[in-house]
Amino acid sequence: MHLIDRLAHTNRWTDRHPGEKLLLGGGLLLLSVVLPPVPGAVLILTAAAAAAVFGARTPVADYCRVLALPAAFLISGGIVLALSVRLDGAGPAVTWSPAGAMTAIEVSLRALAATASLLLMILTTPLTDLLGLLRRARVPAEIVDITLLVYRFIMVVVDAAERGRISQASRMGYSGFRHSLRSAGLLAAALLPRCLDRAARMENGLAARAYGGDLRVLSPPSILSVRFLVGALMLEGLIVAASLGWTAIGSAG
Amino acid sequence: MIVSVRGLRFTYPGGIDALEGLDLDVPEGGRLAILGPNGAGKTTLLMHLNGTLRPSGGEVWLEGRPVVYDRRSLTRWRATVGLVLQDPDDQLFAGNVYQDVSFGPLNLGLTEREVKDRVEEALAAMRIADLARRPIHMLSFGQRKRVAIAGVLAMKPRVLALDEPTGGLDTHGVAHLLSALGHLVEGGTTIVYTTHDVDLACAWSDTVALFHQGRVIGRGRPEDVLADGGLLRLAHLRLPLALDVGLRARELGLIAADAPLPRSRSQVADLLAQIAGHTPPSRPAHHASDDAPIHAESATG
Repeated sequence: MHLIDRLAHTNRWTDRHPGEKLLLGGGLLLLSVVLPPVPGAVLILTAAAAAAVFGARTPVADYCRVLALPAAFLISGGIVLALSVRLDGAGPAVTWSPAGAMTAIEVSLRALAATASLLLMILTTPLTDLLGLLRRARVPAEIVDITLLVYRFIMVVVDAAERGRISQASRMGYSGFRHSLRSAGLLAAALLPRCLDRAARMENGLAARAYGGDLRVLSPPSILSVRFLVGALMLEGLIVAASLGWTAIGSAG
Repeated sequence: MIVSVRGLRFTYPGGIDALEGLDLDVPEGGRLAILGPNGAGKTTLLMHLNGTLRPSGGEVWLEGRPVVYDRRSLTRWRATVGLVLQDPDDQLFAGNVYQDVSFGPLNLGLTEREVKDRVEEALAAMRIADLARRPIHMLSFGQRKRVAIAGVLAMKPRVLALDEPTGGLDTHGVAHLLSALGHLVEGGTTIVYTTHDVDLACAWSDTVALFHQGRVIGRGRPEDVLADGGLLRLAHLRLPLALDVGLRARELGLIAADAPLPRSRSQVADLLAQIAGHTPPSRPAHHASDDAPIHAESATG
């Protein structure tokens, strides 16, 4: 959570208009659904990773770390897809077929390409910008407000928990299994009233700024770059052309 | 008087009396320091000045009229008296600095254009324009504090009430903050702040109100109130260093018995130079000290 958030705020595309990143990331996501996975998904995966690493300058190690978790799920899911369990005959047996393996590879590739497209957006766009997009898409204000507060409070709670843990650890609270269990329990129990108290104080703070039940804020202005939009469209066009071309050659030969 | 409280009483749930019949006038313009030890009721008073808390007894007057606690009056009231809480995390909720500062002015019903101007003005006044796009949780404590003040400043209040504005800031941060607030005072904003730092109150205020157990026990020019040993003992506070040096110099006959007392660090230095027979040297432009940044000097006179 912290890693993604930090990357979203510190990459070279952070200050770019969120619409630009939506066109690129969202466009690639759409293509990963409609194009045949070979070679479409491979091209999309490459393009999304390259855009994140070379375009937005996300450090390669961080990028791999973020991608690793969903990738692990997708690949293990793919392996299961490739196998089938037979319960007839002499006891259960695990078998696999080339057709099943092909399907598994295609599904995994498609899912990976879609994940990479989504990650491209998430890793380059601060959450507040994403919420701005939701607001513009006419998502009810209440939902956007609550999302924003949850986001802010996650950071506050994580901070409070971290400080509490350090304070406990420096008093030998985590020496040994029994102590650790006890300390973690105490910390969790202390966090709830602390957060409720903080929420009450924040209500005072908001009231001091004439809060009227509506958490409206203005975002810093950013300009849509036509060059970026054209570049994104060209990249997506290229992927479509390459994919169609591959399919055409395949069916001709 | 822009804000006055009369016979103010407040009892927290659980029966703890925070204020016990308190009278205080806030004159328009200038800096009022509310000085007292921890738990004297300073914060509780501040929360009454903009209607965050409703008194259990007594009255609050705003611009010569007793206040009303309905929603519309409260909005107008809070546009007049801005309150900055001690812990910036109690106040900052938005994702990034720009958005958070825009919250107050948007609540006043201004147009986006006006809000944009006000946000930029407030960010510039607190010298954090370069942080506009930074998310709140990636700011240092001092930066968050300045963002919290900018968020209230953007509402252009006539009175800016700050709870422990220098608490938790380093020397440089304090100098920075007081300089920014000094500019506001020059622009006509009234500043009311709480502190338990006698040296700060002595150097950086026009009026001091001394607090003890929910009452004002002394009020006046800092060099008068804060040189009163009896009052200070009652409030569990010590004599400010600058006044201590000045009084000692009077006792020893180094200066005339009616000579003005120094109030800040640099005035103490000037006094020493005067005693030694030198004319006060001109000071370097970026002289920052713990109790009195150079910017406070022009306003204290």
